[in-house]
Amino acid sequence: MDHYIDIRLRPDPDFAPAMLMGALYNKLHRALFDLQATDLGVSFPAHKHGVRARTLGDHLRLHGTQGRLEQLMGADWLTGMRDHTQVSELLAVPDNAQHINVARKQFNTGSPSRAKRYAKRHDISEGEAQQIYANLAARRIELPFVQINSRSTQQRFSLFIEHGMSQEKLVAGSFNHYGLSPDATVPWF
Amino acid sequence: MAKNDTLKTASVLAFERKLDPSDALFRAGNWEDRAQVTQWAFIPVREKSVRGTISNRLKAKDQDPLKLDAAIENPNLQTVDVATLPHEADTLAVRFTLRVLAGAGTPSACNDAEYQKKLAQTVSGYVNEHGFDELAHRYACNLANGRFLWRNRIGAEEVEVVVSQMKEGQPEKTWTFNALEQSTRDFTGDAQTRELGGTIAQALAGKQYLLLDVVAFARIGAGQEVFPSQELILDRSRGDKSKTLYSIGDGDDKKAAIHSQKLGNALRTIDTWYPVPEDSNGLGPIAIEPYGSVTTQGTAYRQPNPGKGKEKLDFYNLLDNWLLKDQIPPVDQQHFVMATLIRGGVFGDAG
Repeated sequence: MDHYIDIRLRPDPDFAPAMLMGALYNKLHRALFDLQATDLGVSFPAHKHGVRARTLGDHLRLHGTQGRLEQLMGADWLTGMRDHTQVSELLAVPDNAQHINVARKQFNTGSPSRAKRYAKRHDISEGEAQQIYANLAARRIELPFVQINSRSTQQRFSLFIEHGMSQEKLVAGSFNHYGLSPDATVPWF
Repeated sequence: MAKNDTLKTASVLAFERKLDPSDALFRAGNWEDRAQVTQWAFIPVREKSVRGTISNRLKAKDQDPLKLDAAIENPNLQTVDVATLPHEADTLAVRFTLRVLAGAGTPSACNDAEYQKKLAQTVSGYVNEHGFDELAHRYACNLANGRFLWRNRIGAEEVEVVVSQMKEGQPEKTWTFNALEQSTRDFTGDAQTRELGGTIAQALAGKQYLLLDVVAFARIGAGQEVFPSQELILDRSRGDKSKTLYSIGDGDDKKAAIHSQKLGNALRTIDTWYPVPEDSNGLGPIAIEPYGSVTTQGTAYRQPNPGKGKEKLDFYNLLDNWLLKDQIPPVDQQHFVMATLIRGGVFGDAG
């Protein structure tokens, strides 16, 4: 994790940054899946959170070792996004970098199927279950998210991403095919 | 100096559009079977109802806890249209025809003979000096790069555009482009786009009739969502469908399609000559519009009143200076004025 590549979205009159970030992240997920990578992480230095302005921003940073990043970039996964992105050189992480955990967060959003299952388990009517879940359904989530199609299950879902507090110490661990990890950290600067 | 004080802008002045696309229909098939595109099935528009969460910003008065609780009682039920590829097809085909008409710069309506004469002189001056090569090549690039696919282009694994010149219903000449190799940011092009551009230039100049058949293939992945045009529904009441997609046909036979206007907008996204705002780092080409308006950003890049010390580069100022005051604009702005005439519109004097 001593190297990184910055990918910035170029402003576009036709497409909003959130939409382009979605397309970029979907491509990255496919590339990480194809590589079966567990040692490549991401962070979003320009992300914002809060109900009013949750967005991943226009800046995706890829973290890994020099060799691994070279391998990823050799796979030509950016095809079709090149006009929309500015990709930096492969750079070394600055010495004074902090460390941060970037993780997926899942929420119970009170979906109908979930309410149905709850009704079945607790032997109540679906209407009652939906009443119970109404609070969850209306809860507003403050984390930035991206719409993703899973490569392995083909499901489309919202992937909520939480950046933890930056810290002095590095935590080693493995990353999933979205470049996220429940515990490991990536450099933050 | 031959300043003409008597010449005035005609009060009736209109131009037909010279690039005339049809609506584009969506079909689904497999990437390997591109040659049999005419047998591919059309993509239907389906309706679906979803139970969403309240996520819009609340007005200050609704942030009162009691009111919010009341809002929670009514979850956000929505009915929307969707169109997707079927699970056994991985490729979207978008097909339309494009007519290129001669007579760019000749108004379809003009009530002032003097003005029309001057206009004809000015246009032929431009054509003699530059021809339609620059503009036609840019239009060709926008065919080749698949910009007209809009959201369907982004995220596609492969995109191929096949442009055929039609004669008596048969393709006479065909160009095939790898759209992702073509830039949407600049108009450098290659030998093929220049050849296609040459053909379009000939048609704009009136030297030949031109009808192009355009098929774009985007390999998106089986079952993936595709993006037809979204319809603008005026006076929608509460509880109505919140998203309606454009389709051709009635009842159960709704074929997803893109509006011809949206295709036209993509093809004329060739304006790189607008004044670039100081704080921007390269926005890329915008569509040819008299005021350089970009609706998605709510900005007009060619302001008729840009402020002190800046040039007025909107279409009307450029045209009036050129015709009425004999101030010939820089070459780039001449291209812009001609492209606006090719776009067409009603440009008569407001009086």
